[in-house]
Amino acid sequence: MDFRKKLKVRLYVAIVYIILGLAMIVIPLFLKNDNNFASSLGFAFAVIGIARIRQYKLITKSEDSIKKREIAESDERSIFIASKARGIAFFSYIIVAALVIIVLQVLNYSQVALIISATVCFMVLVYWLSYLIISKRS
Amino acid sequence: MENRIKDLRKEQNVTQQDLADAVGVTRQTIISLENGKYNASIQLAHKIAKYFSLTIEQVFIFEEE
Repeated sequence: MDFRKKLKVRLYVAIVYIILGLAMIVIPLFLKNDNNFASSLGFAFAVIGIARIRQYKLITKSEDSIKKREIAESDERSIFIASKARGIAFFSYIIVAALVIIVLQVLNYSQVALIISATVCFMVLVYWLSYLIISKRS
Repeated sequence: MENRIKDLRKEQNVTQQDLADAVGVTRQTIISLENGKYNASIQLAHKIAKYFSLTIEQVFIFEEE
């Protein structure tokens, strides 16, 4: 996809974030439902949306800044580093989660341990599925 | 994998930023290539060699293990 189109899509996503955020703040007020969780989440969505629009404006202020951003995002070394960091994060999560599951089981928090185990299984499953799909495409 | 990027750049009076802009990477990537901390992909190696009007083998020195 053309980088300018990518930026436009990001702008639309930011607008959706703001609309969603405002809706999550305003709707509970109209329903006279004091839902702190929804309004906090809505506030977070709105802030992320505003920050992304600000970022879009900074990137698109000149041709030079668009070009610089495009290079920064497509730079093969940055992509390599990000991919390696994701791999380390994934591996670290599996190890830490395994230790936490053992501790939780010993402390008799089996429900929480079960939820964490499910997230580990899900991550491993997604990893193998992704590996299978990517290896077939490459 | 060693390379002659730094020498070629100096010979032709090219800055790291000029080379980075020409091949579509960041200056940091050129620095890492010159320091031998990062190995270029075949596409990037081709772009760099083309920039200096040389072949990949003339720019990058492959060391057999």
